[in-house]
Amino acid sequence: MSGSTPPPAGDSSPEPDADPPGVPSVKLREIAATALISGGVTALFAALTDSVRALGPGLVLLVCALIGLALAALLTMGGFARRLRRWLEPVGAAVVRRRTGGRSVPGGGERPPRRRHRRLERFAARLSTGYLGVLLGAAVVTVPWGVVQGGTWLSHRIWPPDCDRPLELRVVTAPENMTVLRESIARFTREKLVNGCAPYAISVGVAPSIDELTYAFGDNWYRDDARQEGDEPFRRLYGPRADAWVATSTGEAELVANDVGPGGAALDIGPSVASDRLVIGMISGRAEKVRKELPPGPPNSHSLRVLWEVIRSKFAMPVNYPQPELSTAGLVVVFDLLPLSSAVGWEQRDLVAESVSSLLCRVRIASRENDDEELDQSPALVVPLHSLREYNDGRFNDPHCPEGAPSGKTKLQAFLSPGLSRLDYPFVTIGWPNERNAERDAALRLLRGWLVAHPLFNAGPGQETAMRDPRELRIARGRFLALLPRVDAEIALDVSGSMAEPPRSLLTQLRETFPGIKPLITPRDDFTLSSFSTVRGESLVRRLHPAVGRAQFDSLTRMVAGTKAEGSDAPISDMIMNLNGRSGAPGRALVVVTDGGVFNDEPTGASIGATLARAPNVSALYVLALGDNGCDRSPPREGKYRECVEAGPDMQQALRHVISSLRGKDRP
Amino acid sequence: MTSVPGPLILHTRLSAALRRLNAGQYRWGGAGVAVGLVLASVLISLTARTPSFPVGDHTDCGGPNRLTVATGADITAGSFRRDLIEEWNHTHTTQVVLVEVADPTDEQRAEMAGRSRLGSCAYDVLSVDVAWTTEFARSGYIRPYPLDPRQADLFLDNVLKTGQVDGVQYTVPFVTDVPLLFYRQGLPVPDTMERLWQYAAANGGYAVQLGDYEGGSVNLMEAIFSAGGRITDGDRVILDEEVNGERVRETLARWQTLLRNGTLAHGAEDFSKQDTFDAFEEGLLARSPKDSAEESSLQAFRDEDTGYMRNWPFAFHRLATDNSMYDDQRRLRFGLAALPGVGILGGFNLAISAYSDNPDKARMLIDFLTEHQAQARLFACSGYPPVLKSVYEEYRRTPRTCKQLLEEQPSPSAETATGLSGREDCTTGTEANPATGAGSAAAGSPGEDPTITALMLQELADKIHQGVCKAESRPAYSYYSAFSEVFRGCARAVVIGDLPAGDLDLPRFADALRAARRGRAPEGAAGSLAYCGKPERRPG
Repeated sequence: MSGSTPPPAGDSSPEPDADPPGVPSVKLREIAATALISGGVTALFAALTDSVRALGPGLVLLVCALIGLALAALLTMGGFARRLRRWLEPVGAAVVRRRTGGRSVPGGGERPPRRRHRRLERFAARLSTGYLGVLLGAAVVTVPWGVVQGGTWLSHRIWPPDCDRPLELRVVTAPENMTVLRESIARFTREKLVNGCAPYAISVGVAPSIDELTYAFGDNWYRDDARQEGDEPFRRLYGPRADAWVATSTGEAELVANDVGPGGAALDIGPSVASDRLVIGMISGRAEKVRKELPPGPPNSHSLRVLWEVIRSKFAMPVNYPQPELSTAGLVVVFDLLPLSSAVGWEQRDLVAESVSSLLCRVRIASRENDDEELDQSPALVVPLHSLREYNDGRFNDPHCPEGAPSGKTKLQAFLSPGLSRLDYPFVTIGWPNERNAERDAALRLLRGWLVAHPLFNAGPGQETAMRDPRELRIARGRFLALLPRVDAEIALDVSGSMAEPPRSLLTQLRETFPGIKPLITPRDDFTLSSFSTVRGESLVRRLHPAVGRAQFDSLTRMVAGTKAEGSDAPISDMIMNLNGRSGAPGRALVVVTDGGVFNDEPTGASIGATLARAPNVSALYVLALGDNGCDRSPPREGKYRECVEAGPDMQQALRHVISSLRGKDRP
Repeated sequence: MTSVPGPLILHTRLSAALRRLNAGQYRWGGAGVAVGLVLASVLISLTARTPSFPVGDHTDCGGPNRLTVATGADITAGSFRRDLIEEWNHTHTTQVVLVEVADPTDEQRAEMAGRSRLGSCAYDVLSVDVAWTTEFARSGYIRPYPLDPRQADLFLDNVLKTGQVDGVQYTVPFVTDVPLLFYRQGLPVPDTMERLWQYAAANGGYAVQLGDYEGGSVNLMEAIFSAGGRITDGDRVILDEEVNGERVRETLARWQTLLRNGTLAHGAEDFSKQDTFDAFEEGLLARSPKDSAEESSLQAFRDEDTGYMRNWPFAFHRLATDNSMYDDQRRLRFGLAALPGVGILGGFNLAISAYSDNPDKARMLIDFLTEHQAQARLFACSGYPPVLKSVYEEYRRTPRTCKQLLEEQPSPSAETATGLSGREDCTTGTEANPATGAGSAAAGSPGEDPTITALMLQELADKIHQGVCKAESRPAYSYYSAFSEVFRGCARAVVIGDLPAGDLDLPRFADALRAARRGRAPEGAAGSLAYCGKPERRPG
């Protein structure tokens, strides 16, 4: 292309005699223009690459190869150079005219180039050739490859292949945050779809209580080993291993992080992905009455003490919150109430629920069943504001609860107070020992950033302070446990053969569920364990374990785990009299755990009620009925307190209910 | 004027252009070509490298003398699976740890797939639901498990096929599952679906599971298969093919009518979805989504007047150990038979993780867990339906209870079975016990806890065997769970009356299934059924 070129048409100037091998300035312009075009094309190519990157590497490389080839072909063709010069001729003429101020130059031709100028021209020509050579060389490789890739891309457009396996992640959080976190993560996943394929599959699970979390993080997400029997070669996980945890407060996250021992998971407490405040909620009718009794002042500005006095002193309204032993939101409530004298007392509550969700669920069920008069006696609740709103909107997604939004009069109204804490929901990234993966870490960073930019919920500004200090939670927990009524009871296990029948042994289920009540046990409680069944026609009562409180509760669990079924059903009355003989005043409660087959085993003429009446050292009888037989044949309720609880599918919840009932709460 | 071919012109012009180059330009051009070749080759080799999942840094894999088995929770009576592991540990230097992930199968899958996806060596052996086999195999999470013909012949054919993907054996059957028909004693036993509808309508209904969970998908697939419809044909989704599509529509419409008129037991549609949230909240032993619906059916069958029930073999043990299911003569008040229509195979298989450092030892363990004695004990003691022909043969000839198995020496037929001759096939059956439950008298006297007798086990084994022989497998897709969810969304909407059968948009439904089987999200907002033809509701 830098060879001899015919003079442009209409150029009558003589051929410069000093420039046979050199390049005229027209050529220089041509080279400059070529370089400009090449640069422009390269820039365009880069832009195009960016824009089509989403379409896949096949198409990008195909386009790259085609452009390179086209460019090379165009620049190599002599015709193109001539045409280019012809296209640029008017531009050149205009430039010349401007230089000469419109005057015609004598001779009309260009001045002979200088030596340096010629060297530059030669270099530019070689550079152009080299550039074209690079393009040609690249084209030799990329064109065939690009054609193959392009063909593949096209075929995938027509017959889409399977998506790549998504990265599976697990995020855990408190039950009350599940609905909104699930929705949020579904939006995140949908936003990140590539060609309809999800790069991430993120499941959301419930985080267990603080105690259980601490154990799980310290032991590679395994459950408490207390239920192991001897050196059994099996262990249990808390479901899929968690990758991240949306804690309720920074204080909770730090409390757990501080308590996880060396060798446990590393918890990286990140920024907040939501913010909320605790509020006192009550149904509309009661809220109006309370509002009238409050001293004048801007709404939501009353101190907690003022609110408490109106609610408790003037209306004697029970104030319920989730069990602080199991729910961090409940523990924060306790922390807020502790400064008020006697506000944390057991007698202030009338509902026992292990989470915000289950508390609201119980309120929902009660509000559907109660008439207007009973609604006027409904309790107040202390819960996070977003939970109260979700409840009112019918977005309260607890499958155990009735669906739909509550009616107008049973909707909950919120009282805000500066004395109630703010919750800051930090995103905690979990680093498991011996397992590092850059892809997982990057995905978690992406999710965290997205959640920070799209908070789960936002309570807006307020004067409340966020619960950030783990020591405050630790103190609140200790003081709360000290205030709980003491329990003194014997747990009697029915170990007859029917408790271990295939395919699902009730004894095995019990042993798996039993550690779930440990968080509810206080240091002052006393539990003993015994078993009973009929062996060779004789009732056999075995005392398995002496009294234990919270500290030794694991040993009781191990004893439950080691229990073997033997014999047939024995009458409950034998258990009552056995305990009566061992207890002194003021008596102990008896908790019988059975599959219900014992109710019709009383000796002729005897009854459980009569036996209980003859046992002064047995204060009350609780029967936890497992399996299918239920409480249908339970004794009538008269005399001493007797209660039969059908465990149904949720043995752990039933056990927890019995513990609360033993403390004098949650009785039907 | 003759036209000159394009390539010739190009060649001519290129030659002319090359002739015009001087020596310097030749050198620069040649160097450029070389550089271009190298650059492009490097670029392509970098770009074209097959994207592989980055395998992280995983240490503490257990060492050469330890195997870790990932599985669901074992809360069966006797926990015999655990006993088997203990037995292995007492007789081998390589010690096995059983890690029970959770009871809900979704959570088991999430843990095993999640860890495998990251290349973790945490598990050597995976207990894989038959529905996930294709996903795990095609994703490279598990290794091929070649069986020689003699080994393969030990397993029931249908059951063995659940472990094959693209013609390669990846998993070894461990426990199978197949639906059975339970009926109240004295009622006629239907041999066709039409007769079942007829008898059920007159006798308190037929309890099925139509909840929004995998069991619901299985029931709906069985409904379609039993009516002669198909959803897929190999890799193809054929739901929208003319005749087949209309058959599917008619079947769903029929089931909607059966549900409305009470032939399908009341409540079947209300089985609530219990997701991982519940399951975690309720703890390890929570009733899984599958169980919740099957439990509801069981409850209806036992406590109400429901005449017939479709359920898995576990229900037999539950009913047979319930005193109220016996009459005054201590005979069972119910019988069981193979499902008159098409049943779908379930169960769990064992596979070796692709990231196991001890694949040979893992194979030895799997062989141990699937040998005759282990399978017979798992069946008799814990209620796991066996996968070996020899166990069915043994129970056809000399049935024994768990206690007898643990106390006695292997029976002659068992000896034969362990001698690697799986003769039982789908043409043999139990002569002693027809489907009426003739051998179902309980041991013990009234007032005592009922126990499962050898004859009961014999009858159960026979009915499971019959069911397995004519059962079908679920579609084998890498993204089966997404496929199942999309299928269930539309089919269930029609059956429970959320979407009129006439409005079911079969082409869109089929397209959504095609996308889902490849892992693509269906059109419309999350949770909407736009792809079925159901109008989207405004949020709130």
